[in-house]
Amino acid sequence: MAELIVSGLVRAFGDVRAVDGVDFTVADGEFLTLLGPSGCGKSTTLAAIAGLDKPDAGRISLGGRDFFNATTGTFVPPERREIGLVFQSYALWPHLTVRQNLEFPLKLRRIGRAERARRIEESLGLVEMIPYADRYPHALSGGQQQRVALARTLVYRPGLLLLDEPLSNLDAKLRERARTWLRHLQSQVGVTTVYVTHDQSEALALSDRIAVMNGGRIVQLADPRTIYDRPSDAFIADFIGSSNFLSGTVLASDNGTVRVGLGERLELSAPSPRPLAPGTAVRVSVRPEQIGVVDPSAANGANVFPAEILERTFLGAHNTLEVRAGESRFRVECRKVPENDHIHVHIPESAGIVFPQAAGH
Amino acid sequence: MAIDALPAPAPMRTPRVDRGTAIQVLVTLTTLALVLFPILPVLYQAVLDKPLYDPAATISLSNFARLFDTPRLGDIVSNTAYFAILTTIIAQVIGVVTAVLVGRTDLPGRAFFGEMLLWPLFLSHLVIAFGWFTMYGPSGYVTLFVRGLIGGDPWNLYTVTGMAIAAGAAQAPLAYLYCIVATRNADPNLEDAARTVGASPLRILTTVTLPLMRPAILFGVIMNFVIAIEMLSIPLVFGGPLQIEVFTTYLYHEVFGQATPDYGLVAAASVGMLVLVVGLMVLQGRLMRNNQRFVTVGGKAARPRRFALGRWRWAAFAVLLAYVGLTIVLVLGGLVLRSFTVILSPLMPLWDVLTLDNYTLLGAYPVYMRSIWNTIIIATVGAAIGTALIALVAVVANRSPFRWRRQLEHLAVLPRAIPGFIAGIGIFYAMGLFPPLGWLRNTIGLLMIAYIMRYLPTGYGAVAPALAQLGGDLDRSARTVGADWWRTSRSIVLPLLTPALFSCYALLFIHFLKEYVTAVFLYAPGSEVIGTTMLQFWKNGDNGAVSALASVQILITVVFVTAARKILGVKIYG
Ligand SMILES: Nc1ncnc2c1ncn2[C@@H]1O[C@H](COP(=O)(O)OP(=O)(O)OP(=O)(O)O)[C@@H](O)[C@H]1O
Ligand SMILES: [Mg+2]
Repeated sequence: MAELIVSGLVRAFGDVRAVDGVDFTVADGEFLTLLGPSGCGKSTTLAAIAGLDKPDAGRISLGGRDFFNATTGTFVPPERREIGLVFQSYALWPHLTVRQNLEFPLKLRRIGRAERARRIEESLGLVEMIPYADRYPHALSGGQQQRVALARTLVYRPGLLLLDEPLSNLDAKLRERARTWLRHLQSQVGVTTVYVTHDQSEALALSDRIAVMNGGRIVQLADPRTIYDRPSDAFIADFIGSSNFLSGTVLASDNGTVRVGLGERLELSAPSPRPLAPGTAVRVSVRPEQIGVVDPSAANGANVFPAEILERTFLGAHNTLEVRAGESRFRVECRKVPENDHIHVHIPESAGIVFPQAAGH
Repeated sequence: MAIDALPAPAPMRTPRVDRGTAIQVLVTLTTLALVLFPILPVLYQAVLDKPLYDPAATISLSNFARLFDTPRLGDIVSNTAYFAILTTIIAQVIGVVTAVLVGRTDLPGRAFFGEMLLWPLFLSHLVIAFGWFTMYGPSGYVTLFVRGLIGGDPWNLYTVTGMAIAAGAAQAPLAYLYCIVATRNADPNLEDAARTVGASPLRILTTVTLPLMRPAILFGVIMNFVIAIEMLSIPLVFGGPLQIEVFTTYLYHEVFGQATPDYGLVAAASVGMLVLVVGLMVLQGRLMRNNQRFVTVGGKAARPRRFALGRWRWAAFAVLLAYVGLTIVLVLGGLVLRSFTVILSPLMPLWDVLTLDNYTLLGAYPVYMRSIWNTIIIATVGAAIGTALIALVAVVANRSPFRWRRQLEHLAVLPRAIPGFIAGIGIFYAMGLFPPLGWLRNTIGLLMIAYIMRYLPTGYGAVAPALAQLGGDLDRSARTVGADWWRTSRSIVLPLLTPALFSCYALLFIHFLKEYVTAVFLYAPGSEVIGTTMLQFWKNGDNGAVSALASVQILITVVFVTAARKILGVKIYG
């Protein structure tokens, strides 16, 4: 029912096209994340959906009702859109207690006293903040304020929930807990949600689908697994997780797999989303955790290279090795640090993704 | 809880007319009317050859020709220039020195001086003028006392220089105020940096501290210069006897000295003054625009270090004490003392002249009591109406999607360039131009309108910065939860602005209490205020009654300022 459709959305500030033709659809009850580096237009997109900012072109509709339509000149002001927006700053009204903060939207909707009390109780219950109902916002911690901000938007049952980096003001530990809790809450309430973040791990953990944005456009829209495993271009491969990029030249290409020459001696087979002519300069992205340190006995297998360890970094759960193989340098993640500096590494064929050099940076 | 447990969103009322836009338009039109109300008639009258209520009047430039033919125009212009320049210099020198001493040194009794130095700001120039007259005038208490010691006239207050000294002392607090704010905001790191490279404290003062105060000093120079040009009271009280005329007293005498005032000439002269003041304000805007490089960044947490005065500590203390004593305590105290005596003179023992007659007189004549009540009502009610308007203007100009909001802000600060004197003349003309407004004529409502117009920029200056401090997400979140613009302003923005609105009210109250220049042309029997009545009785030589009225005004001010600060915790001037 409450399906959000955004199509052809454009918003320019002077010469800067902050949002440059964005299309996406969020199904009823779905959790969609807009993910991208700072300044890519996420907040601008969200403000357009909320009605806080008027786009220059395109169309936004929720459940079949046009919020904005540049062709017909429709623009519904924010207060008539029935949506909930959680701000990065939480924006709790400092002169009102927690209860009064939640009461305000209900009063606007002329809901009776008894029903108001019931709904406030219910919402505060959802975020586990009932004991704090009579406190003023300044007497709450960041995490508590964030929960109240969420309760305030849930209390009037909006048709759409928008969240703009709601967890970015929390410390790392709390952020992780709030993430689990938020995901749980969203599926419980079942409200269609658009979530904005530049934190890729947050996006991966929370979303049904992720729209990766760059320079005002959506560059890939897919479920987290696909985004992580099959990034559609080098930018995404770099932005999501941390990838190694190995430069090389295509030697042969067949059936979706290419053989890439890395420097003089090394050869690597990897899948390519598109066929590439031999001689094309390419970059192969490989995630550090997918590279294995193997026994010298496997030294002659395909995609196995001799390598030299340049540096070892202990990171608690695992170790990172900085290694050199031929002319390529890359990072390898492993649980146990090899004693010898000279090792062999294996890059499984499915682990590498080949991008033409020009498409990267 | 599952989704189907949640009922559909409650339907919102759909307003038929957009009340937000309606309010925004209304506020803007009100402000426009308020600001144009006094200016347009002046401009119009200036180019009419007959009074503007005369149907036979035609457009001509003859008024300006007559203005330039005024026999004593040269004297008037040079007196005005000399008075304004000397006043500004005296005010600024005293203001800067006291601000540095109080704000930046280890002077003993800083808190006391900081408090005392601001007090003249709360009082009208008329009260201060009478105070100086009572103490330092030709037969003033101090003058007679010194004459008794040295056997000759020690000084003559009835000169342009004399006026400028009194006016300079009256305006020094303003210069002090701007500079003390600047010293508080100075970044101590800049001075510490100078110190680490080996500069002596005096060197730091002259090469770092004072240059950083330059914007404040510049701002004060232009403000004080404009105020000096607009000042009526001190030139009228001290220049009157010897007929030393400045621009304002010339206009005053043109209006009140003639049986039939020359409307056109007065309007032409007002336009001349308006052009000068607008020019100065534009200049100020220009000068202040490039001041980004003086803005000191960060370091707000640490207070600037104080310079050690060393052996000059007590000398500076004595000088400042003498200054405060002679120009504030003696002037105001003398005025109050005068109100309890038949005559105040060192030649007569005090106990022989003590009396309550002056106050009995106040109670006996309705005019006195009426002017006191009118003043209190205008200050109380007018400040409330003014604060309400200013709050709306600030919210529309800063927190609305209104198309003309920038223009509204310019409009709201425009009266800064309209001298109160000219506002009074303009509204006086307006009453002739729009006969339907005649019912306002003899009411204090007219004075309230004039005062609110005049102090719109003052109040706006107290509210707008507070509004800028308020995060925009607070109103945006109210919009998304379903409040329209007006509801957001009413329930979220304005309540959060309450402290600033209290300050605005207090400022307006004080200004309305002391204002009289605007009223000089507008009051009528029934709508007198303390200032106009004081002037009236001073002309008749009733100095006892004048000092009693002045004392009443001082008392109201002291009670109000103390109550506002102590009870309501309102910040007045920082
Ligand atoms: N009011 C504005 N005026 C001019 N430019 C703007 C305005 N708002 C945003 N921009 C520009 O539009 C671009 C996108 O901004 P936006 O706030 O949407 O980025 P974002 O993706 O939310 O970034 P972040 O992760 O840093 O919040 C930026 O280049 C920004 O400078
Ligand atoms: Mg953002």
